Amino acid sequence: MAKIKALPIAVAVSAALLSLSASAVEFHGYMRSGIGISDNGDQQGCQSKNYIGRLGNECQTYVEADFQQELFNRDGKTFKVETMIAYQSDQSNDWESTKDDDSEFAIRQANIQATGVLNFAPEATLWAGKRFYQRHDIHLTDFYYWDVSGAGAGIENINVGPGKLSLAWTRSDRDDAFVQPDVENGEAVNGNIFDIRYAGIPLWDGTTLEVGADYYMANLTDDQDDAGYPDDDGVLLTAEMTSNVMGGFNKFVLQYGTEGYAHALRYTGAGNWYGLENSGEDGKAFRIIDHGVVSFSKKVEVGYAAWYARYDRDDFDSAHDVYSLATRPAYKWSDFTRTYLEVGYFKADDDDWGETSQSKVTLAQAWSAGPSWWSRPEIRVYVSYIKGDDGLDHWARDGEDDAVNFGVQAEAWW
Amino acid sequence: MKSAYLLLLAGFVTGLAGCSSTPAEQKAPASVAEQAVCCTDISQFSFVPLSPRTDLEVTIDNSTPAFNFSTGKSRFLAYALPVNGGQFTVTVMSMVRDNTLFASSVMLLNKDFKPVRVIPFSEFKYVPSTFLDGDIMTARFVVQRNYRDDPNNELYMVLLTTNNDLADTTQLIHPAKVYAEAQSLAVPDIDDPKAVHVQQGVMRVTFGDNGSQGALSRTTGALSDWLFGKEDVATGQAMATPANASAAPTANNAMAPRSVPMATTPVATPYAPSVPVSGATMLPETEQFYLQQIKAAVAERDIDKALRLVNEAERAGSQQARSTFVEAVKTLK
Repeated sequence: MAKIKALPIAVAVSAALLSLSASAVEFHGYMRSGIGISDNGDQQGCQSKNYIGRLGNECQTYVEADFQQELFNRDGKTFKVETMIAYQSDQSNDWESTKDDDSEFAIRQANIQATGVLNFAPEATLWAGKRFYQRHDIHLTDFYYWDVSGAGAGIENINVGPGKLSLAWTRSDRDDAFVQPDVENGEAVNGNIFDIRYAGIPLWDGTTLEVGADYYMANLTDDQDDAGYPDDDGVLLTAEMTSNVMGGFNKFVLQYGTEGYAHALRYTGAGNWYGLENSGEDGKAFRIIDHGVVSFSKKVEVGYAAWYARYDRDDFDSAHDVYSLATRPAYKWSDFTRTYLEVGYFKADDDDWGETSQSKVTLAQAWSAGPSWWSRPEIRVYVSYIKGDDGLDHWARDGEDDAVNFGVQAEAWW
Repeated sequence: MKSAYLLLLAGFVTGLAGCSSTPAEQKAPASVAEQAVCCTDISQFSFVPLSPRTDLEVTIDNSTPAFNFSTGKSRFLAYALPVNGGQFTVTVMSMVRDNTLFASSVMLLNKDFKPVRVIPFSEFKYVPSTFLDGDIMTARFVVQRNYRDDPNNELYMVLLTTNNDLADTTQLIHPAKVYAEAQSLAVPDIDDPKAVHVQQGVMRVTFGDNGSQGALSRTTGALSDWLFGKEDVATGQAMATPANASAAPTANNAMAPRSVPMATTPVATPYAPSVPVSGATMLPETEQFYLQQIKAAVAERDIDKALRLVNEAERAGSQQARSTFVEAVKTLK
């Protein structure tokens, strides 16, 4: 018969009494980590995964730890708290400490979400704090193409007509673009994003549309204004059509951006990064994306992404453009093993800023928790061949322009 | 929800001959309908004995025996639960494979092979794919063991499926949505796959909390269950013991939507449901007895026993057992 000391029991019982109406803590997260080497010596070289794919092209340990708990639930009103930190390192040895800048920690989320508290929209969520807000991404290239996450507040999912309306105000300062020590508050320019989106517009059977607009407002201090900091605001418009296709989905996205957002669209920006220092030249850009994950058969499931962006400004002789193609088919030997092939290519023509292109082919054998292309955790053994023209810095080591990476990686989300 | 339980019980209870339920034959692969039944009575099943440390995975396929239960012909798995020790937790999981699954109900039998409790498939919870399991439907329950020779002691377990469940499907969550939820992404507006219920599948049975049987983990597991996880434990539906079984109640028969099992083989004796567990009331004398026992156990610092007493008392309908336990613990020095 087990016996327990009284004090911990009393404490536990008191805790139980307090939390009678609450739920347990939810632990979510993401992690990737692994080991790899390059045929050019040194660790594997990783480059441009947003453009050519991430499989066998990731060189760091990156972890997100997210804790959520519903703290209050009564009369149809709920309050949930969420906090997330992220940490990463280049996984070069065992002790990677912040003391020597060998690792980084980042605060990603810290927010409260309340439902049922707005009389005019009890179904809506009122939220405030730092939050990953309705992010849209392409998983196989780790490319977030619509993302205004940051500190902010908003009301999301208000029932309006057939769809849901969401409004948000988030903050995204540029604290790296300007270093002028003689200007008070010289380094960071306060940036505010006003986001409005309407989702769930039914188009035809199995297809819905979401549209949204983001307005970036730079909020200069008088000193910054006097110092002539650029402060041209910009607009980002997004329309995304989601279709049920072959047991999976396809998303077709059109985006249009001005000023700093035009620059962002060319360089895999998503809405929370604004090219403030690139504004003021009446920049305009559009981006077309088509991506999805579909099943061709019980054994074959394919992820794919293609996008094109075109960027023009008054000070460009001709428009800059870029296109990217990537695909990751999986052949499933069983419910828990599969072979992946990932192929990616991009080419950018940025006029007098240069031209670059890069390609990657990766073959990987994976063991994963389930039969889906999305099943995680997963461990893969891979070999990648990455080639780029000399437009890229010596990422491949020793001045080479190609590299063969070999390694093993673990990835999970929960 | 109560009426769903009654319908299910009506299915188990009715023993009348009648037309077969054709949906079962259309739904199940041809082989089940053609398959010969193993036995004429549940007591003839080969009950596989299980050890207290059980963690097994079993495939239900064409070689698995079938029986004509009152709810329809079904392949089944039959186990003899460990006899020593008091009550323990059992987790039953049905694994989704290729968007199909064996929608199992759990029937618990006493020493005379009479059903005393049924945990219907409706009490199974959906858990999306995680940690080397695919999507699963899972139910966790506590095997009842009271005083020795209590006719309600659950000594055998049968996993089966019913005609009602075979006609149904389970909505899964599309893995792209599981990904989006886990990663705080916008959830794509796409259809969720449905798992079809069939007469084959993969079942997993584990005893204890995560199969761990150490004394400390059993105790802290029980405590943590009580603090955080009690809602996840299925109670199922009690059935009458032989001592107070009556004839099949006509009222329930009137509610049964389907007609009745195949006439080819006599079905197990009908049982009427006793007063449902949730509606039970306790005699003041027995309630006092339990409260005294709980206080005594806490005073001896035997928390394990005290918690078991609380669970037992609550099942019998006690309203004060839990608060008495809490008060007793608070006064511990």
